[in-house]
Amino acid sequence: MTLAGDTVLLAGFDFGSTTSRAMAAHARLSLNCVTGRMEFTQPELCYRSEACFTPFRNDQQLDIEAIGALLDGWLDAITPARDSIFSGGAIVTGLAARQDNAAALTEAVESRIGAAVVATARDPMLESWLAFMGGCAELSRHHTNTGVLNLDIGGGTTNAALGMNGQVMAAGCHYIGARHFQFGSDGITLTTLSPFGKALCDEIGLSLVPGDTVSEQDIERITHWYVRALEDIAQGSRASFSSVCGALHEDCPFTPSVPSSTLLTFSGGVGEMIYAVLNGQDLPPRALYGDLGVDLARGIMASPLLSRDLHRAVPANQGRATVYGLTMHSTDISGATVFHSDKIGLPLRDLPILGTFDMQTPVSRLNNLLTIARRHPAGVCLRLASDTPPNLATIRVTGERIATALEEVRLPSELPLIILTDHNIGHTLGSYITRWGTLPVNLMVLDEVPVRDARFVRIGLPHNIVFPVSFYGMS
Amino acid sequence: MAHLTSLADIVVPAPLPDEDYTISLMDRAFTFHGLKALLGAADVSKAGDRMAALTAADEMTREAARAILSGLTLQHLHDRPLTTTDGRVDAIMRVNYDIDREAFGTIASLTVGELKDLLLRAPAAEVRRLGRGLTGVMAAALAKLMDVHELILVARKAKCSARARTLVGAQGTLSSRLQPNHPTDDLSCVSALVYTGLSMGSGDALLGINPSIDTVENVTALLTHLDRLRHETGAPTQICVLAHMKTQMASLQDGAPVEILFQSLAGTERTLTDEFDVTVDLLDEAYDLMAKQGPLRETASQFMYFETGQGSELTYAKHEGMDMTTCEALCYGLARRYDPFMVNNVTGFIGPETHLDNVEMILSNLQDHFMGKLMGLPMGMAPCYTMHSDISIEGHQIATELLAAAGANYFMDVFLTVDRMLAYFDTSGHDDQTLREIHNARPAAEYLAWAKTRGIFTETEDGTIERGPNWGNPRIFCGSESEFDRLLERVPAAYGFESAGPRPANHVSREIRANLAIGRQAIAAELDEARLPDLTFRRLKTCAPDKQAHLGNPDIGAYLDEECIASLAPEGMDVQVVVSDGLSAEAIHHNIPDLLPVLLDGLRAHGLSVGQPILLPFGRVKVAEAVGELLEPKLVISLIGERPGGDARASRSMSAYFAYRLADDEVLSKARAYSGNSDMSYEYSVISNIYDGGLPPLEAGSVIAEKAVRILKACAAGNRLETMKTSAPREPVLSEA
Repeated sequence: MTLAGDTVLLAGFDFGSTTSRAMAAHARLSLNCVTGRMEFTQPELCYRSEACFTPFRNDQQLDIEAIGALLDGWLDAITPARDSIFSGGAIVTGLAARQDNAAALTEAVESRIGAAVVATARDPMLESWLAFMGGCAELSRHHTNTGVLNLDIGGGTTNAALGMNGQVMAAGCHYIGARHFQFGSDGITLTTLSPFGKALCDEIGLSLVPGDTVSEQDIERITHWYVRALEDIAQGSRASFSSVCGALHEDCPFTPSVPSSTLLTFSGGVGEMIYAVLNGQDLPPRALYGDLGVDLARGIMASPLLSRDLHRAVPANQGRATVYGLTMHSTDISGATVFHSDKIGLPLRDLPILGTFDMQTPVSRLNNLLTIARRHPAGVCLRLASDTPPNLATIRVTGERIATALEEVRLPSELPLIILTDHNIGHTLGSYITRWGTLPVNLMVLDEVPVRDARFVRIGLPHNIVFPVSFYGMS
Repeated sequence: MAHLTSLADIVVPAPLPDEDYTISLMDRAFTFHGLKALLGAADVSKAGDRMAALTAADEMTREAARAILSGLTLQHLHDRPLTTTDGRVDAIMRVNYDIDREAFGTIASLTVGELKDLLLRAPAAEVRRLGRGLTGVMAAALAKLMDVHELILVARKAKCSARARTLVGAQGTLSSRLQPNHPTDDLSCVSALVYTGLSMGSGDALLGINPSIDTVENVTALLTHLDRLRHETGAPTQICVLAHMKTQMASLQDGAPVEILFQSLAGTERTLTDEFDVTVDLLDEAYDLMAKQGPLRETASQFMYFETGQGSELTYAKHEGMDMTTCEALCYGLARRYDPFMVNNVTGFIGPETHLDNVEMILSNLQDHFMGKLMGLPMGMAPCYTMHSDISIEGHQIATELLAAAGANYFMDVFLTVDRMLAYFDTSGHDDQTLREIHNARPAAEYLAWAKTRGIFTETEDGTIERGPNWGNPRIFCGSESEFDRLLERVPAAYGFESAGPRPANHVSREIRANLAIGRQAIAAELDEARLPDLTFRRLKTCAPDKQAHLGNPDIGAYLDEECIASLAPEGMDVQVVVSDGLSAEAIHHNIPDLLPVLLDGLRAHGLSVGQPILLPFGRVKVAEAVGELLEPKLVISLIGERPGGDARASRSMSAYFAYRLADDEVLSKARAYSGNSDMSYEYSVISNIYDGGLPPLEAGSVIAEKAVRILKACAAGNRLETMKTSAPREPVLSEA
């Protein structure tokens, strides 16, 4: 059957420390008549891969060739026409992102579907954000009076995100995960010890090297440290991360105020195991995955603090939260009336977000921003922030101020300049900035795009009249 | 299966010249020239017929016409088929003569008055038998003689049922068509409204959406979604997307589950063909296709669905001199050919130009229901209104009570009475349940059995059906609480789900009524130049002298008054802007102060000459042409308030119509060749939904300016312009202009 004309294909690819997954969905791009904004609606998953072990060549290297084959297999299963993918994301997370050739993996993605999909590695706050959006966005909208704190525990990292009403308020990342200690098929012979695992052993007085048999008592001590650290994270505390070892484990501090009413949820591989147990399944033996995932799950369930909401709030997608987040939430979409110069060549990748201005920003400050922009010939992005809807006078004045700054700075006419705004004013603001098309500037004003605290943005090819916008380098 | 008699095989008497019908009442003599005039004068007075000069001048004249009509035999009516204005028997009139000749033979010598008495005396089965022998004109003649009690009584006897998955129209039942419409066909909203309706016991006749986008892709997507909802909920019912029948046929051939095939009908061939793009041959083809390929061909005895309504022929000025009731009856003669599963009429939908007030709407609905039932149709009813008529929610509810008493097979379920797509008002699920409780009716048996398993209804020991614990709780169909909340985020005008018995809770009713009141006020408000500060207009007048005339007669707002015409001379500007209240002065007050300055900035920045904007109270879209002919700009931009629906904010919605004047001979010939319309002299584009909740006025100003530039550059508007756009690699941008 034919898909409706406003249907687009979204895809996500998650390469984690332990496993990798792909997902794809069809969604419709339509106007929400309640909010007056364009949205993705009616997402229908059309492909969901099995989780497979992330291919590593050795301790330092990802197996790019095997990953390429994996990607090709997924893409073939998703669509016979790769250019039909509208948007999505690929992310390399946890220990996989720390491998020497993680960048080669993102290149492998971009060489195949780079026109549509953002590929990033080592973007811990984005990982936390995606896991929350993929698992808890709806849950947090439903529990409007309480926040939701999600801990996405994978092989290499725990990505914490606190959100309310579908929005992430704070995020963090810690090197707490299942695969810092890896075991052989007997489940007790240590085969691999990450630098973080080594530091932890030193901290708690264990002397372990690969090849050692690890006693259950020692595993319990290791797990105990991890669980206590997770309890601190769950309370917005940095107590566990003040020591040298603790500081090493803290990638992005997580220090929001976390009220006790906050619902606590888990995602990632460890989260998936926890909720499987609640559904009556047994924990698998440690040997199955050859890491501490099972022990972490058991420790969390035994913690009164961490287990307090396991029966009250169950996130969606669980082990697939990140890939679902990548598929469904890694892309925002513009409004239906944007301004763009005919010279804008899309997609525009890796545009740095230079700064934020508002309707009162003077020409001098705009000059400073645009002077910096001159150093980025591939293009830059500015954010227009305004708490109140702009009016006719402010739009006219702001447009003219920017036009003046553009003239004074002599921004190269070919340099792509993107302005993002949350308000539905893109077409009119762009018209005034360019003095109705007479100012030679390669401008795009994308409106109705939420303000995200990120360092980079990517603008994809439009579907009909709507442009996909992806943020990364979250801070 | 219906037997489709070949049109050539239907025997229709040759038309006869109109004759004079004369009678005296007291000392007054009355003469009516021809049957059309007689039928028109015999009817109650309605706005549409008044506009067509068909109504009786006074009560005595009406009764004189009725007296004459009462004395005409059915054979007399039979032998004088009503013709088109050029003297033809059109295809619809011809189909109306495909009657049960045996039944007709038993009553041919009776007068219309005698037949009326016979129908009132006869048992139900005899009424149904005799009805099969009547043409539409005969049924219309009867309707004009009946009073309210009689229209109800005879219709009730003529009640007939039809079967698809459910049996709709059985005695003691009152069914409903769930109508989960949305302005952009949002599937989440559709789900929420279907769940809500099902939880109220609605939708046993049909889950049927009026699509906003009539494409095979969209119709297929909607059908697929409805099919999924039907399967997931297990509700025994059938589904339909009320697109044009050509789209539905293509969707069916594309594999979509077109379980019931819909089409709007008209009572004259010119309306059906020219305006609805349908012929009897196409209807025949659709019926055959459904019989061969329809998903319910093995299950359903009937699978066609028709919608009609008094006044469509008249508003297109293609009523062939016939009154609205007669045209409507002819629709039923056409519908009867296909033994449909559902027929309903939407009299009141068009507005005050056809039905001005409660009485006109109520009586017309009773007439329609009577005529349809008598002619053997499984009539459901959708008495409805728009906000610019004088029809109130109370009048609407009175109509539903009377129609329920008359045995209407089904009503609509439009959530909280506000159709989110069509901006009109109809029955709700609350109304349907209230009517079931007042009239001791229940849903279709198959559906009721299912609804009892879901706790929507319960049955007491004495067999009474009552609302169950889950009545009105749509969350029973969702996997989680949050799922329904997510769906609700896409539902406009969702004022609440709390009920008080079968009615909405008071706070919900208050919100509905407050929104209605705000919408009415937007229409009633006079265009006030003082509320458009810092803008300078030249003020002109249309032929509408006041608000009431403006609302009641759309045509007069399309013309300038004589004084204005005399004062205007060609200016030859590129663009002329006209600002009119249309159907919402408040839309103009709230949008123009932001929109117009941006628009003028944009037009002038592109070097276009712009005439001084015109402020034109009581204007309609077509007045752009009157202005265009006098001032001779290349393009007229008409900024006009839209008809408010049920949402308070949307009552401030306006549109921008671009009327491109086809002054150049070459462009004119291209436009005419493209459209196939040899009379056209303007091409139109439109940008709608301009208000704070849609396209904000500040943003709309530049979007309208850009569109104007594109039109002037391309020397084209409307579909011809958009086709050019499709073939271009990129949409032109302002900087190129």
